[in-house]
Amino acid sequence: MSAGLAPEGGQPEFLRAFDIQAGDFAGAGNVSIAVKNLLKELGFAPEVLRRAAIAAFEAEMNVVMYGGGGHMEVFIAPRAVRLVISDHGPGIPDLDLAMQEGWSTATPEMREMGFGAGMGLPNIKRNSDQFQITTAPGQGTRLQVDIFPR
Amino acid sequence: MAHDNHQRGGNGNGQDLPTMWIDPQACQGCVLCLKACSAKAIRVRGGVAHILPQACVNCGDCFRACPHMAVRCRTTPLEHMRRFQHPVAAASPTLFSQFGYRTTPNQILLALERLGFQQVMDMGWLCEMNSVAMEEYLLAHPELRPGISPSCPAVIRLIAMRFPSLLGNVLPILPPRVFAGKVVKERLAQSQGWDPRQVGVFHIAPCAAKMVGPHDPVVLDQPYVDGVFSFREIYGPLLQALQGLEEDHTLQKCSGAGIAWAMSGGQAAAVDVEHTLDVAGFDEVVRILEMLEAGRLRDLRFLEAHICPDGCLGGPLVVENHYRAKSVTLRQMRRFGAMSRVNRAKIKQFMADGLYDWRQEASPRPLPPLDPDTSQAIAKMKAIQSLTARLPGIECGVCGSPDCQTFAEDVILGRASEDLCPFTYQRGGPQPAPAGRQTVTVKDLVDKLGLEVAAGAGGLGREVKGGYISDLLSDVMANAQTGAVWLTIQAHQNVVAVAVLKELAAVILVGGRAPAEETVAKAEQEAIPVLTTPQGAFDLAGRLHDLGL
Repeated sequence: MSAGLAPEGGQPEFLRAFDIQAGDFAGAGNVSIAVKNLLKELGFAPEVLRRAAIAAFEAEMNVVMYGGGGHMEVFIAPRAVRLVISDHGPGIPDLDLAMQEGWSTATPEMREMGFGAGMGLPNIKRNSDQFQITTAPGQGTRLQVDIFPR
Repeated sequence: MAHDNHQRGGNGNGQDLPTMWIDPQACQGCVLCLKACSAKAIRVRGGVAHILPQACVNCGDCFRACPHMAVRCRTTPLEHMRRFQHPVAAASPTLFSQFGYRTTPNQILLALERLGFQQVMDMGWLCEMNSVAMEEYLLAHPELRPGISPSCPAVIRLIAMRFPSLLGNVLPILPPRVFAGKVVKERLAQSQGWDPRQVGVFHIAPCAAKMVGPHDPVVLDQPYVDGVFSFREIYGPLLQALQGLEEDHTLQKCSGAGIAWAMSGGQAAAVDVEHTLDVAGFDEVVRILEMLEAGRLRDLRFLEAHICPDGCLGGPLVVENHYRAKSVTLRQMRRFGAMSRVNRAKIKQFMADGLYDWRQEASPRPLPPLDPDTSQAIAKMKAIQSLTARLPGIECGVCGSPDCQTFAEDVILGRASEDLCPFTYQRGGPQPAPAGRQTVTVKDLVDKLGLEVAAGAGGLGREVKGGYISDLLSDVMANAQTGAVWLTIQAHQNVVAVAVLKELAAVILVGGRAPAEETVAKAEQEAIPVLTTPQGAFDLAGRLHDLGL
């Protein structure tokens, strides 16, 4: 796996990590909110905040619902935001299928709460400038999302 | 009642004054307001609490928390109604909940008339009209999801500061109190043949948040509302006016829908669109706004948000306990029925005439980032993280910042010194100042010399290192030392600018001189204490010497 292009302004440096609890629907969204507030304090533009918030939220929900818990790490450079989300879940057997809009393995309970539209991964991709996903059955999933201020 | 400084927030000179302030004489320097402030807008420095105006949303939680009555709300003194030939009352319908089950809205409106108001608006009725206007706007703009009620000014300020991306969701419909002012000034005054300059519209409110300045994100209130009277101040006179009141005519037009409009849930029930939500209380409002900003709650059409628990019934300046007020409101709702008799066609006409239009859109007022330069901001955030890790994390507030994380921010941003934390000392951190040399703060001078604090109480914790006497500004610029108190007879606003530039501790106006209005505003903004005394410079200097300066 390549480390991705280093954006102008250098390779993003590690700033902070957040734990994400498995099945914690009540606390779900808190990590993405914390990440967004962090970026706000650093003075990133509203457009970056918006994209980062959406990507972080979708990724966080995936970890809560399917990932069996994990964490989100934030890396920062003056002109780049990198989110790395890793979980301890079962991995994604067919990635091409998972990247298709509308495809979902959500349970009826999850759908009842408004999740499981099958838009999570495509939505993350749409809001990122670079997007890498590493997964294998039994190995968990690692997602790396880069957002560059426009 | 506390309105020692009675200027309106907008005093015509382009400066904002905070609507809440802390009286340094009454403040004990405890941590209660510091801890109560959800916006983290309070710091205790030099034994005195003060409010950071740029972070304050005017929620009133500090006012509720202070047992020493040191937190003051800047509302308008009642006697200001005499400044106008035609005073008009526009009281929040919450007022109807303050006088028990048996007193009707009509009686309260008549009592207001008895106090000398020439026109008394039934705001319950205007609230019902407002519901229809908001509903019509939502129906005409199906893409707006959700529309946010503009009624709570503290919520709008919170949005402008912390959720600027949601400002576009705030419904551009004048809230009832401002609409009342507009109707009175643009229509009623004409029909009555009143000189518009002699018409004073006074909002009677359960909070001070409606006292806004020209720089506030929502300047809707101006120029239609001329002042805000607090429930607490008008309660006594109203109670008297209710005694032996003859109910000989009817002012009340509202139903229960208008009576309950300002109670949490009142608008969400009255605005008839699919999926409405009402939320109340600072932290709960933040939680909902966070969700909205993260793109959730997409089905929602209308959001009613109040900064106070239970909505305006829980306002800081109410008289009645808010549970009892709610009980009274529910009783009156049953008595007058929840069916509004507002004529929808008429409201549509008002909207078409532009009567509900804002003069100016709410403008974002985001909290500043750690540094305008992102690289610097990242470096500062790392420094904050590493300092936070060294702090005890028990959130005691002894340092004067609300919690360890905020203290670390204050230290890194140069607003506090690390040795204010009693715990970093013990770990071999910075050593306390050597014994034998007492530091003197501005507050010490105020206490010992009986000086009056005219403005800039936020800076009373400043250390005083000496003194300087001069009435020539250039002389002060050239010769005064950092940390000096400056004794002068110059009372204009440039004095504050010089004090800021030279980093002086305070300005003392001697010989009984009073600061100009602009000087007060500027001193408040810069947190430079401006003190006054009847003593002359010679006598005062002698006493300062005696104190060891």
